[in-house]
Amino acid sequence: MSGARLPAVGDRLPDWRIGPFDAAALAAYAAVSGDANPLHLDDDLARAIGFPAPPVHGMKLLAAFEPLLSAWRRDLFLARLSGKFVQPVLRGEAATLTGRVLRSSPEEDVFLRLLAYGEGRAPAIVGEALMTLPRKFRP
Amino acid sequence: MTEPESGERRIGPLRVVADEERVLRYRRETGFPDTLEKIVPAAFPAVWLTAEEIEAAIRDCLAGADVVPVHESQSFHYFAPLRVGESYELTVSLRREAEPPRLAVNASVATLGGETRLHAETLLRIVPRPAAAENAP
Repeated sequence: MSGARLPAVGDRLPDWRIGPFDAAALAAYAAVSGDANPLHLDDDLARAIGFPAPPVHGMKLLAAFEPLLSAWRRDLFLARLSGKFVQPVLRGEAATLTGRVLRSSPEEDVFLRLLAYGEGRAPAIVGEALMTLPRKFRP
Repeated sequence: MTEPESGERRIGPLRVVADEERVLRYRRETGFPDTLEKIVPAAFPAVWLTAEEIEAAIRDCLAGADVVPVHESQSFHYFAPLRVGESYELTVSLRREAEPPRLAVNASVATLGGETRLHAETLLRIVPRPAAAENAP
C-alpha cells in the first residue's frame, strides 16, 4: 500500500448524517434506481402496512455508506458491501451512518462493521464492508 | 428463463450497461460528491436487478400467494471493479427457501469476455400481505 498505514482495529468512522429525505428525494431515487415499489412513495399504502410515513429505500441508505468509506480512506477500494435492513428510516427522518474496524491486516484487508440508525437511534441497517489494497483489486 | 431440476430459476445472461448519465444520477441520489468517477458505485448494480425480466420472474415465483416481498438483506462481493461506460452480462438465479419463507436472488456480473466481476445476493423475506393493505393501491 505504498507504505500507507492501515487503519487500526477499533478505529471508528466519523458519524455521517444524511437526510432528512422528502418525497421528492424518494421519488428521485425511485426513478434512477428503477425501484418501483409504491410503499416508498404512497402515504396511504405505508399507513396500511403500519408505517406513519413511507420508508426510505433501504438500498438508498446502504449505498450511502460508500461515500463515507471513500471519504475516510480514499486509498482503499470497497470490495464488499452488505447490509441487513433491520427497521426502516421514514420519510422526513435523518439517518446517521457510522462504522468500526473489526479486522485490519495486509493479509485480511480492512473489515468493518457498519451501522445506520434513524432518529430513534435504533439500528436501521447492520452491515459489513471489506476495503482492500489497490494491488489486490485492479480494474 | 430456464428452470433447472434444483427448482432454481435462471434468467439471462442479460446485457447491462453502466450508463454514464445513470451512474451520475445514482451518485447524486446516494450522497456521492457531484463528480463522475471511472468506477461504478458498489451498490449500483442493484438498478440492473429491477429489469422487467427479473421482476416478472419474481412475481411468477410468488404467484398465487397473498404475500409481499420485503427486502431483508443485500450483499455485493467484487472481484474487480466495474467501469463506467462499459457493458456487462448479468445472470440471475432465483431460489425459494421454506424456513423462513424467503426468495434468494443471486446475481453474477461478468465482462463480455466472461470474467466474473461481481456476485450479489438479495434476500427477500416473504410475508403475508397485511389485511389492511389488501385494498390499498
